[in-house]
Amino acid sequence: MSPTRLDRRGFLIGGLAGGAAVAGITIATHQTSGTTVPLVDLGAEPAGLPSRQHAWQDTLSTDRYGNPIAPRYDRLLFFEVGGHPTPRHARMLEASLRTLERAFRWGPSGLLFTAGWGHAYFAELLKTTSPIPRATGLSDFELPAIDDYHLCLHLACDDEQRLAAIEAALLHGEPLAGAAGHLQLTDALRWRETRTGFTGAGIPAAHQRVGGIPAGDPVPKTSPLFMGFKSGLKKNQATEDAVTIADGQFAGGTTMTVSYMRLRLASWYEDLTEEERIARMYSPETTAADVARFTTDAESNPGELNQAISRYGVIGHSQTSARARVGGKPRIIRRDFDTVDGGQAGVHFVSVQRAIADFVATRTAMNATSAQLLNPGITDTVNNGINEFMFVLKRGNYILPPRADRSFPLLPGRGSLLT
Amino acid sequence: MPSDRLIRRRAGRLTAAVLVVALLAGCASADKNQTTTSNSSGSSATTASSSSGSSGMSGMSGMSGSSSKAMVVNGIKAIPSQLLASAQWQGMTIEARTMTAAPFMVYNGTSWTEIKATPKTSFHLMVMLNDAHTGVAIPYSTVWTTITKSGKIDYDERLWPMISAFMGPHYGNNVSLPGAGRYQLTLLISPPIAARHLEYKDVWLKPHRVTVSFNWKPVP
Repeated sequence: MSPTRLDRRGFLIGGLAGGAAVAGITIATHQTSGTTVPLVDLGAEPAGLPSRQHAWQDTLSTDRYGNPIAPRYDRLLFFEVGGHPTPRHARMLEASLRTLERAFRWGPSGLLFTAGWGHAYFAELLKTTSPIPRATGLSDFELPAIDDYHLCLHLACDDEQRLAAIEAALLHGEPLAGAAGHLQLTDALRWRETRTGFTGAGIPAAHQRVGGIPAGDPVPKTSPLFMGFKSGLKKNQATEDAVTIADGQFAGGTTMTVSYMRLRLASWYEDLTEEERIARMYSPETTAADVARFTTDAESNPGELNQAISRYGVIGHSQTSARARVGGKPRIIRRDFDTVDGGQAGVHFVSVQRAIADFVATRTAMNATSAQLLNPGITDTVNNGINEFMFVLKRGNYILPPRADRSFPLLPGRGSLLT
Repeated sequence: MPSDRLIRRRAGRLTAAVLVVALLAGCASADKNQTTTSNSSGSSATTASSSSGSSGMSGMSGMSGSSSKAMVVNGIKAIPSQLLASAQWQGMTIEARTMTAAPFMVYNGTSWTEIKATPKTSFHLMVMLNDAHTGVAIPYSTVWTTITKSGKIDYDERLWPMISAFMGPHYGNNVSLPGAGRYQLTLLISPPIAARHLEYKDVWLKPHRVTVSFNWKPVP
């Protein structure tokens, strides 16, 4: 490392410890070699919004059993910071997000979104300790590319065209109907990737003629997901209170994991009977009648896992995953959605949890690798839940700060331009 | 699923890592004293080249020398196979071979199902994992195979852990490709899940990916 680099890093660390005034000087030093971000009009933030970015639950309608109905369409936008981050970067992002909040009511009928920050943002840009670990592969049968994005914007609502229009406004400065204020982010953030998707009865069936799904339109017409079963029952999910970080720099926030998984459902639909699919999705003890009675939970006999291993030689996804519960309560909130990105059936598995370790524990339970030691007829991808039907391509971890800290969290001096 | 695809039989619980049994014997023979027969394969894997990924596989430069010797032992007739590619990983030899599509049995936990080749099946893909020094097969792993052409996925499956008379433990499945052309084969090899003697305690502990390109054309 050159002396210049050492000096710069030491100065930045000093800024982190010393507060906004010092940090501002640090940023100015860096700006001499980069593009200056315009000082945009910040705009007002609507009153009454929840302090938690991840507070979506109260805005969702419910089915007759009280299960929340997820937004029908989702979009993930991934960015890296353009140049070295400055308070102007933070102001530009915050202004854009406030414009969206003023334009659309907080909820699926308007817009829900979160801004999540990755390990690289903290470790490489701010040179500080990241509040979340870098993502890793979480099974022996996956070797995903690990996302190094700085920022993930997760947008969700019931109107697919609205999400497309918002993306066009954020990335290309296209006019957005109903929005007044700054929107385009590209002076502050470099776009890297977009992922899209959907969930909800009937939508997967309408999109099933893609790679990974066999011919013959096997996806049930009313299924909310490609695999033909429902998820997100209210007792299968952690609560937003439970996943909220209680103290520390990110108190009021949460963590998020985003995994991109390719689905391969040829054998799911062509080689398995409905009974066999139920055994793998829930448990071998679960019947079709049981599935019809799953109204608020589908724990699926986790206490009978060893019996399933020895007697049935097949174990269920819900059954193995439920072993991660603590006191009978799940540790993550699933906000996953199906996708046809790239012409291929897949899942963008968005999960929010208090700590990344909660996701790791849940995924590890789902792997059920040790079943093979009790019955060699079960391997990690043979007769083992739905492990063999999805292949993890990418994964990234993020922290979702509380709303007040969502734009460039921990950046020295950010507060000076956000009021 | 067509009813004629399945032949279900009751079976007892497995007592070994026998998940899939090839009805026709595979043909990678270590016994060079056996009688050879001609190649009756309905498909051909030809050349392999350009390695990439976590480790490259060395492909054969042509068909010559890539076919194993066929044989008949105890009434079981071996079917010749073609070496598609091979690679090394921490003392493990990874070999991908193709042979004529074959029916095989799979175990769903309580019963057996016969998986038959279809008219669209291009070949039977086999991946052998062996100790590079002793040649002994390494079971208890998982091999996930992806075959693409010009970026489009044509095959994406976890291979079945499988045994056959001439191949011993290996990983296989029937593969259908849309036609002649140049394809990319990617294998994701999982760490074997088993108790280990000490000579294996420090190897094969993380998933490992190998990638190779190959040309394929159906036999007229």
